[in-house]
Amino acid sequence: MTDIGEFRASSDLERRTLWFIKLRWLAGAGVVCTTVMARVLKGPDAPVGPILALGSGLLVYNAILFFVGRRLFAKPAKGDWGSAHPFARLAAPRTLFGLGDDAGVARAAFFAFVQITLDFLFLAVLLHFCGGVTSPFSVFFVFHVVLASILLSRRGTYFQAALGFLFFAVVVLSEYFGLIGHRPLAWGWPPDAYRKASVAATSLVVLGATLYLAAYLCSAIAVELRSRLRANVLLSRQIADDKRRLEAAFATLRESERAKSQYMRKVAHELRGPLGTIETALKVLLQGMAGGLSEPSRELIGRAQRRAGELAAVTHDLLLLARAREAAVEGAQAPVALGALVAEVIEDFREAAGRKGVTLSARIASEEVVLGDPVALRQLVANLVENGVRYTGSGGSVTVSQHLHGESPVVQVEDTGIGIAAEDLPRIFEEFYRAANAREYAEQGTGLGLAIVKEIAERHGGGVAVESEPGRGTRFTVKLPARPACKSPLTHGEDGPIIEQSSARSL
Amino acid sequence: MSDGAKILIVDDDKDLVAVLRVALQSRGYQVAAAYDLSTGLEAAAEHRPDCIVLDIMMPHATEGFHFVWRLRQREEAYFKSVPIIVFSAIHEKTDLRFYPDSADGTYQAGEYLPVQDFIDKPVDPTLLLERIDRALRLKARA
Repeated sequence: MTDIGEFRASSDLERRTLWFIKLRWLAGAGVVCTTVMARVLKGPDAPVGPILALGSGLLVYNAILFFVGRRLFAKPAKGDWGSAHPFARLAAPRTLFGLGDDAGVARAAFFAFVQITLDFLFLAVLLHFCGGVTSPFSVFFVFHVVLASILLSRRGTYFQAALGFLFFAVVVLSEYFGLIGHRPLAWGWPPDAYRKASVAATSLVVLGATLYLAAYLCSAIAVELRSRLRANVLLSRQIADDKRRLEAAFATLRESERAKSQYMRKVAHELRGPLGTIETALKVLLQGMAGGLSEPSRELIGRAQRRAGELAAVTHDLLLLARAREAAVEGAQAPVALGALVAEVIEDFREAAGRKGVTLSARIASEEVVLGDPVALRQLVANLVENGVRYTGSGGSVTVSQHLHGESPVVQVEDTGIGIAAEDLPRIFEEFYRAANAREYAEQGTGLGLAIVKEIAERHGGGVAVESEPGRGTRFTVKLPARPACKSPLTHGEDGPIIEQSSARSL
Repeated sequence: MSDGAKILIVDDDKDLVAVLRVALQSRGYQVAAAYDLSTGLEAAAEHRPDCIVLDIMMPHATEGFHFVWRLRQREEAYFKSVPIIVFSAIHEKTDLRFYPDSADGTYQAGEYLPVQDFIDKPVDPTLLLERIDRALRLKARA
């Protein structure tokens, strides 16, 4: 069974039937050679004429079977082989039914059934010309029963065993009763052995028992093996089916993810205009441009302004997140010098950090250049630094380092802030998730910043990890994929784009 | 404070225009408003504002850009030099670039936009007033 999709339940049977034909070439050649050798060794008196004729006959009918088989199996079986031919129904192994190729199975089994019948006939005639009951060829009856068990149903095998026994008995008894002549072989048997009832009876019992036992044992094994094959095929089909379904589900999921992020972007976009107008209006009011305000009015407008600001921040971050998600599709690629990028971000936050009394510093250990979306990568570092500064108190520090971990460029943002509780760690990259201590410590924060970081890192084929000790600090590590070809802006471009689907499709 | 300088606001968001009108009038500016490209161009020709405040993202994404180009393409020197301040949201991605303080009238699509200044949305009224003041000062000096 090579390919599950291509599997036909009849293919094994057909192959073995053709292999059976190959063996028969050997048998025919063997019969012809033996007779020729007998003639050479024993001189012209040896009674080899009929046997030579039989051997040639075997080769001829095998040639016919060969061509019939080739033609028969060239095309998939059609029609109603299983029920139209009574012998086909008898011969076909039931265990291979129901696998979508019943006609093929019945056809191959019927073909094998016909061959075995023909062979038994041939063997009976050969037996007669080679000494009847004293002939060693009776062994081949057993051999055919073994073949029958491999190719046919259990019932078909018993039927063939009975048929073989019948032919054998006909020859032995016909000779015994003198209905046909006896052609002795010089084997050391007494010349009148075929006339002895004990010899005839013994050989009938022995061969009968052997055929029955062979049929019983071999078909038991064959049925078991076929059941396993059947189970394997059904399992493989189930797996193939599941795989198709999984792939379909995965495609649907990706499509809905895309639709979700598109929807998110549209909503955020729609919200932003009105929100901006509200913010501007409130500012105009607060700054007294529309006339003086009473203290309660000022306070209320201040509250409204703060809440509008929160909304605006969420909208802003949602847009960033949607953009990060859709970025992989657009693939804005450019060489980005990570060291310079880190230095720029540090500059952007220096003032905010200074106001809070937080020391902001950078350690650039390598001059890595990666291929990526410069705006997104900058956003990534900025979000981490902003987070660090936000959750670190006066006297603390935020350190951004850029180095190589093995081949991979790494950006690390480490703070001495409030830290993240162990139970929060697995969830902090979720959208809108904010740890309890973070909410308590800083009111502002959309809960989207780290989701954006994760999204951008993954879209660049990298990832982000976090380690934290509550009360001591937190360290975020962003690892980007190693691209030796991108070490310098001059050598990039000979390689493919750096962004790959981080979710492997091989299921 | 502003000697009653005339400011034209071109923006499709009527509420924002109303808000900005209050802000500008509080500083003594005279304010004219237009809500789309064609009336904006007409208003510019009619009122001859000292400064134009323009939302770059009017209903059709590039309408603001067209406004600038069409205005600057007019023969009269006034249209080539009237200060324009545009505001827009930073996330909008376009292949058109802002290039403040360049009022050269010869430009093509994809070239730097010949405007004097730009500010991000949401509009901070104080910042807008500062920028208008500066644009007017620069123009007066020129």
